[in-house]
Amino acid sequence: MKKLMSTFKYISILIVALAFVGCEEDDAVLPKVEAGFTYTLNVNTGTVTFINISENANAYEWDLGDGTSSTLINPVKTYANGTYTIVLKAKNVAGAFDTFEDTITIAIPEVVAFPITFDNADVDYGATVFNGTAFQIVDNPALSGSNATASKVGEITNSGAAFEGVAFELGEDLDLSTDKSVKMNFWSDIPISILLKLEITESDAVETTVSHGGTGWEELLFSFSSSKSYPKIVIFVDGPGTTSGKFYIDDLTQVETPPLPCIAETMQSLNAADFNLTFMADPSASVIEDNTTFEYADNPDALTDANKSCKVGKVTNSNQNPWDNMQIDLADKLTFTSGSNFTMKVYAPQAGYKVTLKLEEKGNAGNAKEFPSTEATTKTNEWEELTFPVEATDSNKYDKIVIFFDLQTQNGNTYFFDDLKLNAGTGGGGGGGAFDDGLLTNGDFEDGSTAWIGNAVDVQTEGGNSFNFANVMTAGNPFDVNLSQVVPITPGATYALSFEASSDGNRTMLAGIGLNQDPWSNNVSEVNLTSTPQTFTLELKATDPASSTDFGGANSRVIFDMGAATGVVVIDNVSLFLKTGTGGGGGGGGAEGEFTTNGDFETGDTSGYTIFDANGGVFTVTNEESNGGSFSGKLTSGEGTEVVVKQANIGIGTVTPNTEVTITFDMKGTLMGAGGVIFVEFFSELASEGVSKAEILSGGPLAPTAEWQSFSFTTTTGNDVSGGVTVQLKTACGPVSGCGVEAYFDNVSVKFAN
Amino acid sequence: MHKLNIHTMRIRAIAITSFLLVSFFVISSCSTDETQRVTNFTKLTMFDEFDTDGAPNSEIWNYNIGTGQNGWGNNELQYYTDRTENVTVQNGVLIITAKKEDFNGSSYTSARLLTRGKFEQTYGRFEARIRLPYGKGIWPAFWLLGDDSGGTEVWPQIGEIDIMEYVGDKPNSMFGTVHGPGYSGGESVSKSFVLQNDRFDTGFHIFGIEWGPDYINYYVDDVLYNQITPEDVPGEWVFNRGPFYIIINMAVGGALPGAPNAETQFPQTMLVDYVRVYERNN
Repeated sequence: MKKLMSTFKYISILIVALAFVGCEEDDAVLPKVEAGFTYTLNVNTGTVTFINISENANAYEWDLGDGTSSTLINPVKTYANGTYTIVLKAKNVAGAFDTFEDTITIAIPEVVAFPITFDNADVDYGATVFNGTAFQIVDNPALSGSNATASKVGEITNSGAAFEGVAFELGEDLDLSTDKSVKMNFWSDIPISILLKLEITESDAVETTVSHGGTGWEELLFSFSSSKSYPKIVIFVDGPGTTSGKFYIDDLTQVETPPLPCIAETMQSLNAADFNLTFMADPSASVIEDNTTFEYADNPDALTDANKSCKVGKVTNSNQNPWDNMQIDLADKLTFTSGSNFTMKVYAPQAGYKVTLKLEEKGNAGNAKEFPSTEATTKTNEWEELTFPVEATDSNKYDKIVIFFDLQTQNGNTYFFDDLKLNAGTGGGGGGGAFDDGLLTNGDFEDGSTAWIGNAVDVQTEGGNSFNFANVMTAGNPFDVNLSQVVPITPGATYALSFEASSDGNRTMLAGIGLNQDPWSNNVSEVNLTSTPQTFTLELKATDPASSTDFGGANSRVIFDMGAATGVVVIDNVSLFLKTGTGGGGGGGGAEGEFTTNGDFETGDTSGYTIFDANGGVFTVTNEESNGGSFSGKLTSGEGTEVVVKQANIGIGTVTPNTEVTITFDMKGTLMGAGGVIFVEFFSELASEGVSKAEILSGGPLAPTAEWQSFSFTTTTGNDVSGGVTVQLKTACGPVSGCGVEAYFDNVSVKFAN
Repeated sequence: MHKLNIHTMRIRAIAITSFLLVSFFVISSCSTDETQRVTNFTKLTMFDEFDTDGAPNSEIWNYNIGTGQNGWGNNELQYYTDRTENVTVQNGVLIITAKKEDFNGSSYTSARLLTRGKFEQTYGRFEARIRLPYGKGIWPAFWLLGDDSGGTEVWPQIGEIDIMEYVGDKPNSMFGTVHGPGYSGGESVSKSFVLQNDRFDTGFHIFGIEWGPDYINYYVDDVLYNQITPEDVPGEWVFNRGPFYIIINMAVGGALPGAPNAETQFPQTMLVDYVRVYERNN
């Protein structure tokens, strides 16, 4: 229209001219052609829709500026990036014409996609800010640390409001199906935490918080367990905090989550009583190399569940003799009971060999016996466990362990091994019949003083039966003379403590459960002892009646305090059981076709669950959360800890092989920091040890959500379920500072699939 | 692109145009109605020539966003936005685009600009040079609404002056209307104007009113086609009571035009070359 207006003067003149010539013969004087166009542009596609606003014309020639042309009134053209000069020639029937030209610059913004470097001028980084944050792209202000390169970086200026931040809508989703971590350079001169949130919607999102040390540019790693694809990332500097100031980000890249580091060993014993060579400490000083080389080595494969411990033993045969070996001398003789065995994990580049333990008497090599592993190894470069059964009759004979890898074969092979452990047998000594001590170890004292502590420990044996014997000479505080065994206690849960006790007359003692550490909270009862052995069963809640507070945890114990009265106290056959709900159990029924027991945790205790929390994770049944009913099961792991909870060996006799079963459960929770995972696994159990099938449900870690989420998996049982099936819940944290996992489970169910 | 230069030329051109039109009215008035009242509205009070590419001038224009109540009271089908896709300025014209797309539950998008709270005036000449869209179900308009005194007064009491309404399936016809108490909606006072041998969708036309105390004159280009006075309306004359603001929009569907049909082409564009408002030059 500019042309039209700019030539208006001429039109005026024309009108005047017409006015004057109006009375003359009307030749074909046509109105002046005015060329003109406008257009709409789709900036994301480069498509220009021309709108022809020429006047008094009936034919058009477009030079579209890229070598193409058109005679349409309103052509549509999709351009590549660049600047184009478009010329429109508008003509009338008489051949008169006018032209109009305009230049159009096409700059299709490149989508923001990983890696985000802020260095591509063609990318529309499209940051949106909220709650006070300002964002702009600037030159790297501090060439140092992890980002010493001169380039563009993102400057985040916090105003000091909670949850302020900056978001990027990605042109290409961040797909976490394989690589689950985001690495970025982050600059701060103060220690600060950075929350990275990946969003599908505001509620369908995952987040990770990582700490920055405040040393300038540092490389941060945000790891996620989700496998989803996310179209939006949001960065909150100081998350809920209110720190103001300038921060810089750069080089956001997607990377594979680094493997969780190994899990450090927590105990080791080279004593005969509880031999357990875990390689927590270097045992080289105690190792005798007999044509072998022993090394204290890093675990060659700490990534698989089979053996995550950090340190292992490495033995290399010298290829001198078929009996190259290594030896460990013990201070005392090894003691065994019926069913005792050694177990050992092995890892080697070759399979098909056996390991032989030869037990020997120091200085008397003639007194020796060989115990080959029950099976040859089947795996290469994978950890597997071997078993070496021993007999009670082998007890108290040997104080040297000789280890042959592939005895009778001369080679120069290398073998890794770990967790060479003496496992106490379960069979009672002479008493006949196995005694079930429940949650306790050596409750019948047939393994001597194993697992028992306190100044009253004195295990005596009479007629093949072992028991604890104490004789209090002077009365004092009840706890002045005591016998205890450490056992994990679930706060608030109810336990049944049973024991047999007698005295040389009539006297009392205290028995119960409590903490094995300050503040020594406990729940004990006084029992009256006589010269006749009696069986006592006490129902005890893990609540201190004095303070009404629940107590428990790993460092709890069963207590016998006998110092308040004089006289003999004989204690035997101590057992501790979690008291299950009084109603349901009986007929093996429960919910129709349901294999789990207490899957909904509504007994309010851990009945039905087997707990493995030796690595420091915690399992509790809690009424903090529940998805129906009042209770849920809570698994908590912090830095370097894990907890495993099983509904173990359920459905024996009912569940059938190669049959579809459906495992369902509800879960909610949070992952804090990096390195935390939640797994649910399902096993088809053999009657003996081992499984016919094992699988991780969903194939990997489960992503917790803030709200309850229902999971359902249908799978087929293995070809042998003589030991039933097991559903296993697990949370774990690698030794990553700031790692935390908190997962609530409810309504755990295993049924035949419909 | 010599925008500044062109701009000053335009101002001069306006003066000439006005003079020509006024001359025409003066001459023609002699031969039609001796009582017709004509006033010189020659002092420019507001104008937008749409000479800056991009979003329309935010000092003049607001937007209605969304679907309003019940499709802005008319069962209209579009969702109004202020996105570039629906409203932009390019090469000297305002482009309002109606698109067929699923957007926030609606099947069409378009735009509705208004000067409420930014430019309001009592009396004067209001005109715009517009090239209209076409097709069944397309309903563009250039109209005025009376100030509602911060919401204390409601339509139709506030008054409505429709300078131009048009339905896209009658491309040679438009109509001008007033709504007030007792003469709103279907009872409004209206007159249509038909182009001879031309269409409103193939070129620009000027739609205007000259509005003074007790009269509103309607014209298209240089043709005065209607005058409405208090004697013409069956209710209270609500056009002497205060300032009105401008609305320009393109509706899709609704009670008046009916829904688009299979022949309706999308996108449709409504082009506005300028909007100008004058007051009496005393």
